[in-house]
Amino acid sequence: MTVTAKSALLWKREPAGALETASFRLSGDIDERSQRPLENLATEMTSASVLDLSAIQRINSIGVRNWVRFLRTVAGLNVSLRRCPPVMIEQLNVVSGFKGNARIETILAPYECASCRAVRLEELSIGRDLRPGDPSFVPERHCPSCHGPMVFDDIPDRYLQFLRIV
Amino acid sequence: MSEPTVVAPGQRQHIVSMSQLVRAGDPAVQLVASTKEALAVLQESRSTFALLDLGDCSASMLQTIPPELGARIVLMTDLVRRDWWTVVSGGCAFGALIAGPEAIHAPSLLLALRKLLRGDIFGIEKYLAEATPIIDRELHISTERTDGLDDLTHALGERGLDPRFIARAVTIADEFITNAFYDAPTDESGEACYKYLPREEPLRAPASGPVRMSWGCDGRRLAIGVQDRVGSFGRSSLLRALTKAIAYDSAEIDLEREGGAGIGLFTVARAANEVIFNIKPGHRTECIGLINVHGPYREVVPTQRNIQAFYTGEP
Repeated sequence: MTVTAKSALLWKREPAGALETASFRLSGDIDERSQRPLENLATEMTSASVLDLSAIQRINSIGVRNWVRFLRTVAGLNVSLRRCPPVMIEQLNVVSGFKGNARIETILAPYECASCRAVRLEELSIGRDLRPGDPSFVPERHCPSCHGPMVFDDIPDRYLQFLRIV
Repeated sequence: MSEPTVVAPGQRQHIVSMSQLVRAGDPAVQLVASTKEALAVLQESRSTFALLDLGDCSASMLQTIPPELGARIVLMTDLVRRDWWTVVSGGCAFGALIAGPEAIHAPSLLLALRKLLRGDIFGIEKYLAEATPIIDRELHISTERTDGLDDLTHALGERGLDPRFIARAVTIADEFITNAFYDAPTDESGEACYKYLPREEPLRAPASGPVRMSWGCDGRRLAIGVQDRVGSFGRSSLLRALTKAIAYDSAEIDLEREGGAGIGLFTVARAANEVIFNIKPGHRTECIGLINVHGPYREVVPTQRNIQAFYTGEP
């Protein structure tokens, strides 16, 4: 996990997985500068779109509003959110309407290795790894470096609070 | 002149802290039996401060306290959500407010009292270990915020802090700086004059002085402070602004609203383990966010709101 300096929101189209699905990878900060990039992204999205949010570094209060407005404009599309990082999960948990009509497919969850103390973000899938409606359950993970067991490095009921509404 | 005596009635968990306060000796603390008695002592002595447990107060009782007495009252609660409406409706009778989710510990109370008694409420260094280096930066125009936040990000990254701590620190600085430029300045009638300005619109700091950002980390705590030279955060506007942050678990976004999104303090209250407001009305406001950085993230992540506010320099 790294945090880079404050940078404007960027997005790029990724090679599509399924035929009718458009995939986009967003990066940088969602803030007061993000309105235009998000408006442009909305015009590029198709009826089924996947947004990879793993490279979003930060979101501030104005960014939250821009994000909610953006999801409002694409509410008629089938939008999936993938690899939602901690900064987006924090907002998802406390801001009403933060996910709009989008479906959360996967999130990034922090784990700490009990042996080598490395902290990593693990991708967890809603349904496969996490149970909708049950924020207290977290799957086990092992450290890819030392193969030791890893501990979920947040409070499950807090970090996974959004599972109550998905 | 003798040292001011602090009168401290209390119930619930505060009792433990009070005994520790009395033993600490500086400042001298006298325990009395009730809020009523504390107010009577306050009336008799002009140099006395009183700590009142909000659990013992009602809004109507607070409303009867004259402002000159109120400035020497420290309201404290360990049940912030239950007691919040008492403070809001209580007519702002306080010189300080200490509102947390659990027993308020003696060191925290002592620090609060010393700040008030010495009339020296400003500065993040009070919350850090002695001799912790403090980094200051003046911002003369709102667009300098980006550089300030970048510097903070780099500096904390070099210290090897977990990126989640860094993201929270930057969020706190970001929201406080934006508030200092866009929400603090007022016109002649006392209304915030740039409140509805889009936040991407560059804005100069008022003639009274630049916005100052400061931060320091002693390995246990990271403190981020932002000061404006306006001091427009009166008690009622502070309480109004904090209500969303304290009394509610989730925030609604008003998509039609101009200017700020209205969830800045809500965001800060969740990013920081403690939030402190130091205010000299008409002169200066300092907003501080404290982040506990010692230990595994899961053990220090904030789960409750913890707010303190201090006022000084009033007639």
